[in-house]
Amino acid sequence: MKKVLIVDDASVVRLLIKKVLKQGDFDIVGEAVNGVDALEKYKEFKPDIVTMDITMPEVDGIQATKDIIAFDADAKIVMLSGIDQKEMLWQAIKAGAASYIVKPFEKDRILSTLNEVINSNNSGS
Amino acid sequence: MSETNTVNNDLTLDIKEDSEIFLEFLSEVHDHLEESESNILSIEDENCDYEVINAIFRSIHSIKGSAGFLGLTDMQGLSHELEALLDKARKGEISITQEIIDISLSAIDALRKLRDNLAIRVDIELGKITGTDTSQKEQPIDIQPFVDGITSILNDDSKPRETESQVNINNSEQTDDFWAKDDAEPSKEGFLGEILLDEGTITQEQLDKALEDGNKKIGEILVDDGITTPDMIEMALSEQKPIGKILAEKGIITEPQLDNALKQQGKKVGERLIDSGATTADSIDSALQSQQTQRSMKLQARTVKVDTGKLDNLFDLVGELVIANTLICGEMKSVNNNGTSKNLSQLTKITKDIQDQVMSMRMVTLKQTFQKMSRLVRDVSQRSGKKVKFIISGEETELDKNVIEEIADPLVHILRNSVDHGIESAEDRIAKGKPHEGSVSLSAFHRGGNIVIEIKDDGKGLQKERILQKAIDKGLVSNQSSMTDNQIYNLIFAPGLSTADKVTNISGRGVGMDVVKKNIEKLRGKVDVTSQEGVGSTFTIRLPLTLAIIDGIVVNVGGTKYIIPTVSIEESLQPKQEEISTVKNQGEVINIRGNLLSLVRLHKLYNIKTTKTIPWESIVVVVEGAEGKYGVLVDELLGQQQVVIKSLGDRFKNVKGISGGAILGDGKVGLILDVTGVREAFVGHN
Repeated sequence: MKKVLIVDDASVVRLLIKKVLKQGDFDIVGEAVNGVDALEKYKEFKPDIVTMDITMPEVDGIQATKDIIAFDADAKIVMLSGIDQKEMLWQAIKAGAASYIVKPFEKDRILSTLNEVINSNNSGS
Repeated sequence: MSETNTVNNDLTLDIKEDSEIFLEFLSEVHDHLEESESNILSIEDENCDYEVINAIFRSIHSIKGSAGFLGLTDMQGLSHELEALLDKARKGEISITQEIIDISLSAIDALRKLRDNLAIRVDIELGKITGTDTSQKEQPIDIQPFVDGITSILNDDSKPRETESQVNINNSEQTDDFWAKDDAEPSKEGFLGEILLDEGTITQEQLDKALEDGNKKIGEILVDDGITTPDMIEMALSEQKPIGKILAEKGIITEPQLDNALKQQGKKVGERLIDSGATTADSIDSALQSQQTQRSMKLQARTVKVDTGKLDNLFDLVGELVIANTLICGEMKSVNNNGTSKNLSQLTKITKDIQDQVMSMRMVTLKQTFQKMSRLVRDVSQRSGKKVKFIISGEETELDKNVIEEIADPLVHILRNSVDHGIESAEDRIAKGKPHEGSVSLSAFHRGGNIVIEIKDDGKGLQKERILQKAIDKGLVSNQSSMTDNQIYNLIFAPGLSTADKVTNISGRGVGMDVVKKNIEKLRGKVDVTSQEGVGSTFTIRLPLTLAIIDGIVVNVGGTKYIIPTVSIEESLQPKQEEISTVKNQGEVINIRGNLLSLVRLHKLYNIKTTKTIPWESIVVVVEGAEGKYGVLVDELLGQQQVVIKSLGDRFKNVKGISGGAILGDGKVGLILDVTGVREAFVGHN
């Protein structure tokens, strides 16, 4: 079971992602509702992978990605974004995000992206 | 993704199967809309800052995202348009006009309706209501007009950015910002530095040094001096909290100094304060660090959402616990055991603490209610073409959540009346020498164990003659000569009396004030009105802190026990024979230090057999009801007790003067007296 941290300010989205991930080999270890929370939870739970929303209060997903990568250069972060946020996605990738999924989300797409990202880096460090 | 999609891949959700997600969505959308509405209204009030628009943007963005997931295309579509509009506004690409505020508010209303429709659908799916229930029907709503409205604004963004009627957006800085701008002009009202100098807070040297650096930004200075790095500055700039505020909080400069300086100087305060020597570079660095800490601390104030049904159950159970505790204490009184009574008093204390805690959980502030009212006043005044300034105070006042739920309707009625009928048209006001803008205030505060909500307008006031004439026409009063002005004004709460010349679609059609009064009395509250022709009217609503528990004095009449709410009691005494007499037209009266109060014999009123019928051998409790003070004759006082109010049920709802029952310390039932009702019953009885 791979440990996942879900970061999204909308609880509906978190519930949905949980629903999807439960159908795969994932263990949801934590949920965060904004960027500050995300970094704290990352430190606390050391997840294998993070799903990250972009638009959030306090600190957004891009800054949170920067913060997490600064803490752990090997952190694996997958951005979840709206179709109209391509520009932001680019910033997120530059900040160190490993991949992204654009809405509307499909179950298979979420599961396969997460699996791919986790496996890709096995040889990494 | 062209690969073979398995069934269920498109994440379509079923309301029944994923009810948890839908319910969460409903509550989330509700919160987002409430917050956005109040944020938009705050833009209207004054200059707004970037963060407010950003917050609205995030809320709407969040609704859009979630709605998209759940396949709610209408909600997704409309929030998408609104989001696009807000996005331009937050980036400063368009300026906030009245038009934008209006369309945003109506779009939020439309989103709310879409949400309510979904709520009904969910309720039907979950079997909470049946599809045939007509009171709970989806109201079809067409989002196209709103989408079109927003699109037309978006396509018309070539407008000049600054026009007279626009609300200024302070795009990167808050009004009390401490970062000087390059183009900061010397203020005529005096520099902060000079103010601080005058006050002796800093020396001339320190000020000179500050002025030398005056043309640079503080960030640049700090970087030049090698005290901090550009990164640190960038971090600081991205903060929303003004540095000055943090310095003040850290005690490096004092809040009064800061406030005073800000007041005198106007809005712009330069880096001179920070660099003036009143603080050091170290302080700034540590202030910057503390911003980080504060930010995470803010997040630690976590809350849990609890179903209100559970809360009500808990509250009922605690009520039972209190009663059980009282019963045990009563039974154990006869047992003379030191240990037992010690343990019992400990139990009583804990029970009381639990009760207080649960009580406090039910307390909610009036904030949301008042915000709704501010929206209402805005809408009503716009529709009636009047300019009305709406002033709110005391919105932090807390009330029992059940009271809050019930108080909104009466407030709506009174406020509508105040704006629609009370406030005159601008021409009339000018002709009378009043400011052309009317003013309505809504305030809440504590007074003597009650919560008072006051609605005050500076309109034309109630027309005494008219009210009286109508009341006579309707046969509501016969003998007007004995009525005081206040009694006449309060006739507006009588059924079937409306003072409007014509019925408008705003203030209803004569079903108004009597319903208001009934609703408030249901909450064990009181409403009355005072007025002065040409000057305005004031409605005062008094409400109990909670509906569930009262402090009362237990009295005995014959074999029956009554509880008189302590708040209503002035004093109790054993009268002397010469203080009692019978006055024509008044019945029995008691002379209390020169004041003649009528005397109500409870045993007569409720037909109870008792041996104590002679006043100077019994006790008179002086109480104050809506109509003033009077004395209640009872056999004896038994003691003071806090009781949990139990409804007596429909069968007894017509018994005047009794507002409920309660279980007393001995396990027997006591009846709670409603002193205003007792007086009315007494007058009717005679």
